[in-house]
Amino acid sequence: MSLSKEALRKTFWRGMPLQGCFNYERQQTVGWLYGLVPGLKEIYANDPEGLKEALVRHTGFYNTSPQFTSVIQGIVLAMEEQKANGSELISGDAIVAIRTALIGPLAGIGDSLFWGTLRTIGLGVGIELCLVGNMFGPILFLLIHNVPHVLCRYYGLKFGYEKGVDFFTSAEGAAQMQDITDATKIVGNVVVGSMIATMVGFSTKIVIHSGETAYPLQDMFDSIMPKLLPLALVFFCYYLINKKHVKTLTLLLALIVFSILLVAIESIPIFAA
Amino acid sequence: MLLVQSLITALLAGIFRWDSRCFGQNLLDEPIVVGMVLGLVLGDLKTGLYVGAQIQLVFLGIVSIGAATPPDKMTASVIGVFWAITAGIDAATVVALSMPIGILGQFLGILCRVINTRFNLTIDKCAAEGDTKGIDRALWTGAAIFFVLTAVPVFIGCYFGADAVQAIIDALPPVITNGLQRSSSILPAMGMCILMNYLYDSHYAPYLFLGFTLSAFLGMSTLGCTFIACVIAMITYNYARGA
Repeated sequence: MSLSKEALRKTFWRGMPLQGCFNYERQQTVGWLYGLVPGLKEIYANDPEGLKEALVRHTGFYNTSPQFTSVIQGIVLAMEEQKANGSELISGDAIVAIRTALIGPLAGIGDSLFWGTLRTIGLGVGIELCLVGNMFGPILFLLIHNVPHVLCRYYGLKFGYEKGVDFFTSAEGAAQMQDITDATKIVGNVVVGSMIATMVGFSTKIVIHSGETAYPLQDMFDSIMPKLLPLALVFFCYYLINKKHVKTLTLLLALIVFSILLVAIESIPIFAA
Repeated sequence: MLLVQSLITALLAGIFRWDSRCFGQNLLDEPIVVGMVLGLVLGDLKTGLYVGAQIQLVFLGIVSIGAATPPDKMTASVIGVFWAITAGIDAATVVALSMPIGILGQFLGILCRVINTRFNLTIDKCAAEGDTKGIDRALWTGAAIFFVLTAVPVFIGCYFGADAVQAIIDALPPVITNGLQRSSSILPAMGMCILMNYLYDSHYAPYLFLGFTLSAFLGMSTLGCTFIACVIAMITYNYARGA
C-alpha cells in the first residue's frame, strides 16, 4: 500500500473521462487505460518492461457503470502493486480475471443504483418543480444524483485500493451491496408510483349521449378511482414490453398514433360535448 | 443575434455531451438541466424549465446503458428549448418534435462510436511501446470527435431549423398537430414502464402502489412521497442488517 497521494489523486480525476473514446468494439477501454496511467507509472517506475506489460494487459474489453469505475481502479492498482513487489500469488492473468469478473456485477449494481434509482428519484422531484417554473428542480436533481456519485467515486477508489479484493470476493460484501440496492429500490418504486399519478396525462374528452343525457366518459373513470387511466396504460405498456417483448420504438410510435386517433374520435360529433 | 445565440448554444451542447464522456457522467445532459441552463443563457428561464421538463417526461425511461445508443435526449432538448425560446414555437409542438430530433441525434452518436473504434489500434501500439502520452492523445481525440459531431449539427438545427419546422407544422392538418400535442402527455407512460424495468418486480409492487396511492388519492407531491419512502427504506435496511 504505497501509492502516493499524488498518484491516487490523478487516478481519481483520470477516472472521469472513462467514456471519452467510447466505441462499439471495446467500449470504455481507452478511457480505462487512460485512468490507470499515473498509478502504473509509479508502480513500475524502475521497470519499463513491466510498465509495457501492464499497459498491454489493460487494453482488453472494459465496460462498467462510470460511477463505480474507481472501485475497480483501486482494486486493480492494489493487485498491480503486489505483483510488482514480487508476489508469487498474483499473475498478470489473475489481474485481468478479477477486472473482468468485477465489471459485470458492479455495472449491475451501479446501473440500478444510479440510473434506475437515484436518477429516477431526482427526476421525480425535479420535474415537479420545473413544471411550476422553480429552478431548484434541476439543482435538486443534480444534488440527489451527484452527491452520492462523487462520494462513491472518491471513497470507492480508497476502499477498492485498501481492501477491495477481499470485500468484493466475500459473501458478506455481496450481501451488504444487495441490502443497499434493495433499500434504494424501495424508494425508486415509491417515486415511480407517485410519478404515474402525477406525470402521465392520460384522460379523455369523449362524451356518450343517451337520450337527453350526456355522460362524459372521464367522469365515470374518475368516480371509480382517480388516475385510473394512467395506471392502466402504464401497466399495459409494461406488459407489452416485458411479456410480449414489443420493441420500445414500436410502442412509442403506437402511442403517437393512438394519441392522434384519440383526438380524431373526440372530434366526431356524436362523441363531442 | 440568432447567429451568436446559435453559436453559444452549440458550444453548450458540446459541453453537455462531454459530461458523460469526460466529466464523469454527472447527468448535466438531462433535459431538465439543459432547459435550465439554456433558459438562463437565452433569457427565458420559465420557458426553458417548462419545455425541458416536458421533453424530460417523454425521454424519462431512455438512458444509455452498456453498448446501446438510445435516442439522443440531450440534442433533442437543446434544439427544442432553443426553438421554443428564440422562435416562440409552442411547447407542445416542440415536445412532439423532440423524438424525431432525438433519433437523428442517435445516428450521429452511433457514427462517433464507430469512428472511435479506430483508436483501439492506437492504444494497442502505444501500450506495447510504453507510450503513455499516445494513450492520452487517443482518448482526447476520441472525445473531440464526440464534441464536434454534437456541436456542429446542433448549430445547424438552431440556426436554420426553426423556419423549416414552422413551415412543416403550418402545413399539417390540425388533427395531426393536436394528436402530437396530446401524445406529449401520454408518452410519459412509456417512460414510467421503462423505469419499471430497472426497478419493479412483484416483490416491490407494494411500494409502487404506495407511491401511487399517496399521490393519486391524497394528492401528495413526489417529494413528500420520497420522504416517506426513505423512512421505509431505512427501516428495511436496518432490519436486514440486523441492527
